[in-house]
Amino acid sequence: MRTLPGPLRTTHRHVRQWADDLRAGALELDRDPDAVHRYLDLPAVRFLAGHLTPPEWDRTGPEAGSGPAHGLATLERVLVSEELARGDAGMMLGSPGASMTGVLLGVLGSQAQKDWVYGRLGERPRWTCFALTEPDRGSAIGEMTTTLTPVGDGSYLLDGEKRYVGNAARADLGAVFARVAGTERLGVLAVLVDTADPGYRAEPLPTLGLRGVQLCRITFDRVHVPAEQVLGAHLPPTRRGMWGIVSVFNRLRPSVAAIALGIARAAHDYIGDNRKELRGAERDLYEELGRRIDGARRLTYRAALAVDDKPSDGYLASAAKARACEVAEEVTLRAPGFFGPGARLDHPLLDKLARDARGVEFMEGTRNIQKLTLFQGLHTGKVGRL
Amino acid sequence: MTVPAEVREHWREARVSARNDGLVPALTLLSRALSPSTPPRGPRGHAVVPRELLVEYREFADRGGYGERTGTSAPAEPDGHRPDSHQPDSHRPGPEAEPADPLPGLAVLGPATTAQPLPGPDPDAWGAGLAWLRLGNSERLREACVAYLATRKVEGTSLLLQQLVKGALADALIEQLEIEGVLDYLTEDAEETGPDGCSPLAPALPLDPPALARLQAQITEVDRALLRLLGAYGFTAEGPGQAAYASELLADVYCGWPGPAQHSENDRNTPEGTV
Ligand SMILES: Cc1cc2nc3c(=O)[nH]c(=O)nc-3n(C[C@H](O)[C@H](O)[C@H](O)COP(=O)(O)OP(=O)(O)OC[C@H]3O[C@@H](n4cnc5c(N)ncnc54)[C@H](O)[C@@H]3O)c2cc1C
Repeated sequence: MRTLPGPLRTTHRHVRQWADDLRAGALELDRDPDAVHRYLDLPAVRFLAGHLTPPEWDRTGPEAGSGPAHGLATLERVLVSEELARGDAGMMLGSPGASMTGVLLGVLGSQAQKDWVYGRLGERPRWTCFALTEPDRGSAIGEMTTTLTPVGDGSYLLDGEKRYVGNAARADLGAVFARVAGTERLGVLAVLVDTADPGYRAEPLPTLGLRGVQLCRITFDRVHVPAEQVLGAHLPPTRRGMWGIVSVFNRLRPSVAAIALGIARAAHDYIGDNRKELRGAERDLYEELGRRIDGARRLTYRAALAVDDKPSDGYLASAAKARACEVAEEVTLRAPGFFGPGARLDHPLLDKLARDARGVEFMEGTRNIQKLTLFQGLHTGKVGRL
Repeated sequence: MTVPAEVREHWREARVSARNDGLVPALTLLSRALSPSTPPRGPRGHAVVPRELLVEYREFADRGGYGERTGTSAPAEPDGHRPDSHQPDSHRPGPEAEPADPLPGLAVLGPATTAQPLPGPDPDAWGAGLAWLRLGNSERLREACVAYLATRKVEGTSLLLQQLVKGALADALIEQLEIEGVLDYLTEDAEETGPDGCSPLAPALPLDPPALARLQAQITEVDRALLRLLGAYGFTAEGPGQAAYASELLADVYCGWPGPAQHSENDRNTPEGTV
């Protein structure tokens, strides 16, 4: 087994303590996504916003957006996401900060772009969004119709519509994926957008769970995107196109698996905390559910390490994401069974967790998409070998 | 169990109505038929009722209020004792934790506050009726999936034609057909039995409350599989996911998720009823 670097252990310990506070606002945020504004002072939220760092938070350099000195950025995100989602996944995903856009910047952003984004995030708690999915097209890159039309001076006009984008109505900055007009199917770029610019409009879409995330639909109507806001332009062509995009998603997937694990653990912990005594078959089931979580967690850690070793190695991440979502649904559906009929009304947190667990399924690729990816890996001998 | 013909007819209607018209109209029919003038209460006293029926319930007539769910005392464990009130407990339901309506047109009621709530429907008849209703709702969800997937295109072809999608829909259908078969036996007229008093078509074991709870869980699991096929649309409040959520809540309130407590201790009485 790999030993965790000291600073990562320290981060984990601190985040674990901070996570407990998130629970206090979980149900309020579930009823009212705007309640997030009342929780901006919580250490976990300030940490996500980039305004608080744990001791020994050792980065590779003083530059904005520098990764951890220990080099295990994906594992760090996994450990943090699992703990914070155990606190409350809605609050975690609905918090201000660089979030997924930060990962994208880490792969495709120039230092000037990182300085611009992190500079603005440093001023006060600000949200970002990550706009990929389109209505009736899912998030398949090849299907994308949002368009960047070149204006001639290196800048573009952005037109189109996105759907189910978290935090888009409260975001100050967004990363948007779009096709360059007139290019082939995979001619997709990621650009940074200032949501205050004319032509950007986002409206919330009420959901059944993870309400803190406030999913939105966005329309772009001739939003001007200056050349310096196009991500990856400073990279060699082989690194800026699909390679870059795929490696961003490989890095993100283990964290989504970790969010599912956090939700499952919250439900499992709730049983342990609120059922005084578990005996016989009940204890067996409780332990069995705990082991299911442990199994998915080991897979997720391995997936994170694989991506940290080699960003193109996202097969374990697909397996972890698929399994963790399955476990989250299973544990959260079964947890009320420990409290008898009416448990989902008497224990609103369990009801919320059962609803939240459904949502992670759709983030970073559904189970079917992960299975198709895994099959590719199996078929090409890239996964499952000794 | 011997079930009067008119009750079986109400079950059939509930299924057809849930499938054709939706969960709320179906629950209105079933509640009016099997529990007129009093809200059907689950073993712990909760109820999920169509809003339009609230005025018909005598329980509320003299109190001028519907006793909709508000903060309750600490909920009991399955064996009836209340958890330690000194426990750190930030996520217990507080007075502010009133749930929103699970579906427009439905209200959630907390345990009755009157000393002696009026008797509700026969639990077996109500339980089977709900299973039929939830099956109808699940079939409606399946139809919504097929409609969504048929129009949702990938590389020019409908998602419905992807092998994985076909397989998932077929799996859901197998579950639904099996559930229908199990429930159907309850609705059939008593079959002529042989000299040994048994019918070869009869199930080996009765559909007792724990078995019905497992059947309800099976319906929930099919719904979950179907909801995955609806993508994020089924996760929004505007899609069919909301009725699926209300259906999960009905199963929770009236029988709970089957657990070992139910299997091993199903004859244990609690102050609120049998677990
Ligand atoms: C909580 C939450 C947060 C989200 N956050 C964001 C965000 O910040 N930014 C963003 O851009 N998007 C976000 N999304 C959207 C998410 O990325 C999409 O929901 C996801 O890509 C699926 O797309 P869809 O919902 O359109 O489903 P569809 O693509 O329509 O899928 C419907 C069903 O078809 C299956 N399917 C699709 N293609 C195939 C295939 N080729 N073969 C077999 N089966 C297939 C799927 O598995 C699914 O079961 C979020 C969604 C949720 C629920």
